[in-house]
Amino acid sequence: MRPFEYLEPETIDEALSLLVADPEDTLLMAGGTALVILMKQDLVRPARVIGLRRLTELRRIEATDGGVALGALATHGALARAPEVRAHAGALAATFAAVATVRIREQATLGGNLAHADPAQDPPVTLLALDGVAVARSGTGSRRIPLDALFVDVFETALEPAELLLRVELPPLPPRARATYQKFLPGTLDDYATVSVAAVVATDPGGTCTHARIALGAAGPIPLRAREAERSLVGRRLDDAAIREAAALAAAATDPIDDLRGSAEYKRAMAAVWTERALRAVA
Amino acid sequence: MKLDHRIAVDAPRSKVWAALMDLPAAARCVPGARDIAVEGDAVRGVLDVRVGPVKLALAGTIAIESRDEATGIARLRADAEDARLGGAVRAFVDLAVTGDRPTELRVSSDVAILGRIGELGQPLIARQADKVLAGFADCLRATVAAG
Repeated sequence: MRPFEYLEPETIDEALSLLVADPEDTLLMAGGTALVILMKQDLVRPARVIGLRRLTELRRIEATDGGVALGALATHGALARAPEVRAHAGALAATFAAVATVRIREQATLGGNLAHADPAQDPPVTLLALDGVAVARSGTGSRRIPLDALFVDVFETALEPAELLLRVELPPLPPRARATYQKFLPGTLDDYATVSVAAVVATDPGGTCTHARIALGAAGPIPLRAREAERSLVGRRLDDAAIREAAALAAAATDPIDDLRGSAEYKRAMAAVWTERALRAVA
Repeated sequence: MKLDHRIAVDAPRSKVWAALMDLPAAARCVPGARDIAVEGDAVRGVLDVRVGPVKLALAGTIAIESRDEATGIARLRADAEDARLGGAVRAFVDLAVTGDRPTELRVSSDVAILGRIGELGQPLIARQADKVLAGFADCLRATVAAG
């Protein structure tokens, strides 16, 4: 690893003023689990690294008016255990608990995970299905970025170089909503998913679907929403035919790559299988 | 690594061919290219590529190795090095121009990636190539439409 300047601001304002001084050659570090590897591989050579660990206010996890706000510096472990997260959606707590290993989960943060924008990560998938909105701040103010607009490409987000991710807000879920996260791990439990699927559905008392969200991970350059599949479910009963049709539409929305976890064709087929399983779990 | 791209251009074949064989102009059409300068038969320049936090500045040359307007076939050779990461890219790029208004350009590249750049992984490199070619295609269409 090459020498670099390391700074640890005490406040968000101090962090932003350090960042804005030279955003192109400065990197923010939250848990550091992704960044330190890139630096050790010498793929990334920042002149300056701003460590965020003293910004303890960004670790907060709070129930809001029917929703929940997740601080960008909350670790995956803290999020998996937080009663506020479990109360909002058990599937979200389970998603954080399914990431990598305990050592990673206690170090890696929500904000680091989102800013790294690795399309094979777990949390973005479930957060997308829960209609998450990222809140980011720069020297000129704050803005809200829906997660389906945050991810731009592999390892690329809509965040500006001088922007700091503060939190993710999840709005209230519709009445009688159910959520699940399904991670296909044919190898080992600590691996990245071959494909993963989050599904959130709500039905009226008669069993007609009133709300559907389907998101997939490791299935394209970004974590993606299968919007046509979602639309196909609303207004219908979640029977076999509806679930199969939605699963096929979800698979059609994917754009996977060939890699050591399988060929693109295999992953697309598995996207259908695991979407079907996810929908059966919540139907 | 072999890459294959097809670009359809709604313009006469002769115009597409001429635009491609004007190497300095064609090089300026590559998104991220800068400091383009003619150097003998070759064109020298730098291609900035950014993959999330990873930044490459590929400095090198591109030259026409062979060309035959009658068959619409040409072969380019590109050699570039990245001083920041430490790595190099060597590519043979075969161009095949077929049809006429619409004209189809097929770009078949045989790319060797040496050194640390390879750690980015082939799928990611192929994706970047797709992006660069898509930007090039837009610029090529605009060039022949204007010319």
